Amino acid sequence: MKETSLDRIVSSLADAPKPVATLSREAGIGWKTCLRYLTSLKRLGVVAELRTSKERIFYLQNFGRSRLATIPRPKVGLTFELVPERGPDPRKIEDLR
Amino acid sequence: MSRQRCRLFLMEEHRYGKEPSIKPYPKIPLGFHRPELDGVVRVEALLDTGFDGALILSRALCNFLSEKAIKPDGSEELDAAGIGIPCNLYEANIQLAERWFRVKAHAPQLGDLGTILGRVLINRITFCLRGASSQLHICR
Repeated sequence: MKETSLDRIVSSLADAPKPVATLSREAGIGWKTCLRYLTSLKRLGVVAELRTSKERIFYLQNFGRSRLATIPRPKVGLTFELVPERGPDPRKIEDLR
Repeated sequence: MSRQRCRLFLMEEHRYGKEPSIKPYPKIPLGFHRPELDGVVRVEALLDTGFDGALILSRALCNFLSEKAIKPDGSEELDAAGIGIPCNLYEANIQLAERWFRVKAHAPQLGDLGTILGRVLINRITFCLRGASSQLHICR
């Protein structure tokens, strides 16, 4: 699927909050077009804006917040068991935090 | 067009969960470990590709951690279908398919969502969902 300018703006914002100039450069579009996209995204509540005396910085709303798309009907794992086993070898743990 | 591409090597095989008036759903057993615990908690989790975190803990498991005086490592709001649910965060070691992962597990402060496995962990393992035969395969 072709990556649109909007996709590039959103992926760029996923890295860090950025000013319009940086976003337009990274998305490969003009400053005014970029601002138009950002204004629409802001209206939709996807991004928020922070204005400083020098620039307008945009950031993704709820960035980093985990999302559960729907609340599942089945309730799994309501019971559990504590088994007297040894924990993992610290050298073999893959860190996903 | 039909081509045979599957070259998966079966490691584990699990049955889908079945309940009256609910369509069968994929679930898998996992191990939950914290250094404060005298062992490993064995629990089943719903496989939910709609959750982009690692693990949500059931109310029973949250209560168990509180009883063991295990303090949360932080807090974060979980966006559950547009509703913000305040959660405690526990850093935990999770055993899945003979591998161990260190993740941040969400412990909702309200309600009971059950134990839910999200994409942070799902995306690390090769699963084969065989819905037609209500079986979940863990492969490599």
